[in-house]
Amino acid sequence: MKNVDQIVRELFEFDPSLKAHEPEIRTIVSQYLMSKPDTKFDIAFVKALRAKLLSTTEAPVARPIVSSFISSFSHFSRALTLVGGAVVVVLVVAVLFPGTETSTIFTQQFNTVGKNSFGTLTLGEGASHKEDTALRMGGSNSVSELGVYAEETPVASGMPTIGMIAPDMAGGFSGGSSGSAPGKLIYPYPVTYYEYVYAGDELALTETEGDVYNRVKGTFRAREAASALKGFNLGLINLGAFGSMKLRYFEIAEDKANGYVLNVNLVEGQISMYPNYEQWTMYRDYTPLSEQDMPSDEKIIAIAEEFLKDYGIPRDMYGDPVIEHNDFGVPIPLMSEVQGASGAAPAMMVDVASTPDMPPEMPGAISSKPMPVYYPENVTVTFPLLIKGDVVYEDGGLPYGLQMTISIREKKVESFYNLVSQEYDVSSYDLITDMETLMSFLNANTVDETYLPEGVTIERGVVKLGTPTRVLMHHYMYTDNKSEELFVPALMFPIIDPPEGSYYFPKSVMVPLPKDFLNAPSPRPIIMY
Amino acid sequence: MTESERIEKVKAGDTRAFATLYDVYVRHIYDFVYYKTHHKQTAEDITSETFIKALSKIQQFDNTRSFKAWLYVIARNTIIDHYRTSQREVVVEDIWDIESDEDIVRDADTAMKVKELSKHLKKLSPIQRDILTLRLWQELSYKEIADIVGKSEANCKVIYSRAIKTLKENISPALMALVLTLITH
Repeated sequence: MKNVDQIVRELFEFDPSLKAHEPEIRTIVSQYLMSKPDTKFDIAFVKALRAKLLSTTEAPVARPIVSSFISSFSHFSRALTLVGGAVVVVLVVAVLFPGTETSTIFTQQFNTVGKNSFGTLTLGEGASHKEDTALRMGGSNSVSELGVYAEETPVASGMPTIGMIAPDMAGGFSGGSSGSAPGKLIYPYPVTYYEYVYAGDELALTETEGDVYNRVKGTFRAREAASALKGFNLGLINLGAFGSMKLRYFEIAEDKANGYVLNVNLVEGQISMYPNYEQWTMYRDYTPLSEQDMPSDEKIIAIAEEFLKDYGIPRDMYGDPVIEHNDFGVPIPLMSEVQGASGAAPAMMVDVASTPDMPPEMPGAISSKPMPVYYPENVTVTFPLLIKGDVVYEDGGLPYGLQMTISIREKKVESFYNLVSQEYDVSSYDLITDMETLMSFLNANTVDETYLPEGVTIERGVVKLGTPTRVLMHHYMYTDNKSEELFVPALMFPIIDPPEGSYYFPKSVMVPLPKDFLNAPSPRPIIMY
Repeated sequence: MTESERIEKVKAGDTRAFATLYDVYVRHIYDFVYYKTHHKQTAEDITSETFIKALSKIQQFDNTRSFKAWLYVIARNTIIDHYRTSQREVVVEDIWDIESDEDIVRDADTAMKVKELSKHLKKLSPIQRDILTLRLWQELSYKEIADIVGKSEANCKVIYSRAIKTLKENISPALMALVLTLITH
């Protein structure tokens, strides 16, 4: 609430005659502020209207993209050409046309099923989140880069690490494990745990039920593709002797300069692309890049957008592209900068002077002399997936969707990942409807201090969250040795006052809304030190 | 991408770009409409109509002006149209002009909360009420308020201070004592 003193002071500046009536003025202003109604702002309404506005354009038309997508990749490898182009077409059709003749896997299709049809959303055991932990915290370091002792620390599957308190990483420098000398220990630095406090606009959670989407990975036509291959005799083995075959993966490569390889995963309904390394000239040029080589964000996005258009990849199901700048122009700091005024080296740092076998020019090393700035060879652009107008995020707050790597040197797309089929089963689930439960849930997922080593200093702090956005959270559920890929309603809260000096503090916190998550088993703690 | 660039994209047919603008302003517009209607469903309907109108008229929007202010103007006019359909003899611009015993839907808790205030706000003109609301409840700057109401910043400040003066002249000693007690505890 605006401060009454500030408002009154402002009024007296406009009209000094009001000063003579200060008590009455204060009363009026106070009454006005106290009478401010609760507007009952409803996120469900916001979402529904948003979807309605987005649907006012023509609906995306199913594009039979085989001819444009595959024909854009020319000069298939000689081996497959010998087999026959028909086989290639069957293989590709198996992935791209799982359903009707007029639809493709890139046309979003929704099949409504009964309530709670996917079971408890937090089922499953044994998922490891080690590699993802730092990304969930919004930083770019992986745990392995910190050289921690712990091996994989499994978290109860299905329990997203929302509310995981990001340890405050003093210094924020990624001293790589590759840089640690044998016998040198990496000591734990002070760990800070934060409580999340909501400081945004008044919020009413009136949506009692929400749609959860389960991506269908049907590959029944993969059997047809396998059947087509049965007659293919390699001379080493007779494929016809095998029964009930299903083709799971295949790759096709462009046999030309700077050509690509397409990797098609029929099990997951996923296509990815990477360079045909034998044919890429850029991998033979090791001249370091300079600041002048770095393109603008607009140029990077233009390259990505042009690729989508040239290769017939539908644009409609993606939101505005997001560029990851984590490694752009990151200078390797001097030891004096890291030590600061106290002159004491942070506990996590390795002293290069005492490790003569590690040359200071190695990335990640701390040197007493000025080091060149590192400019990366490529940059990642993510096109966030849209499902019925909602943007999809990973549970750590990074956008989920089509990821594209742009080569800075070549100014072209180097690879893409996560082009996936777009058929979904849709089931409704009960949602959390009060802020108190939601915030308690968020703050309950703290790290268990019993797992901390002795001597670690624990500090506490408070982090404020801003008004959330209604989004979809990408979530895996593991059941019967299978991984189900779900997209659940969630709120993404921006962090409005990250702790000072904290380099990799997350930008946002994601909270899934289905009530199933309230009952999930507590995760084992993930410690980063 | 700047807001102007986004608006140009909308004009070129990119509805996704409009959705981004919607995300930024929907709360502002909804709250403003609610403060003038005191009814959730009505506020939602008018907010919907505001954004649909904005999207349909985007080609007419002058991109050198404030998009936020434009949305507010559409919302304000839509509210006036809403009350005009009630076929009243007297022009009504918002709920404050309507007697509490009249057959107009409003949220009961809001009606209770603003009961005392509404006695005084009826004595103000619609523009005075709007400026008070925009400044005290929505904390907009005078520049933004000026763009919305179509007057200069200086004029808005004068209207604002005069509105406070008018309220001062009508405040009862009993109310003053009550409020002073509440705010000092």
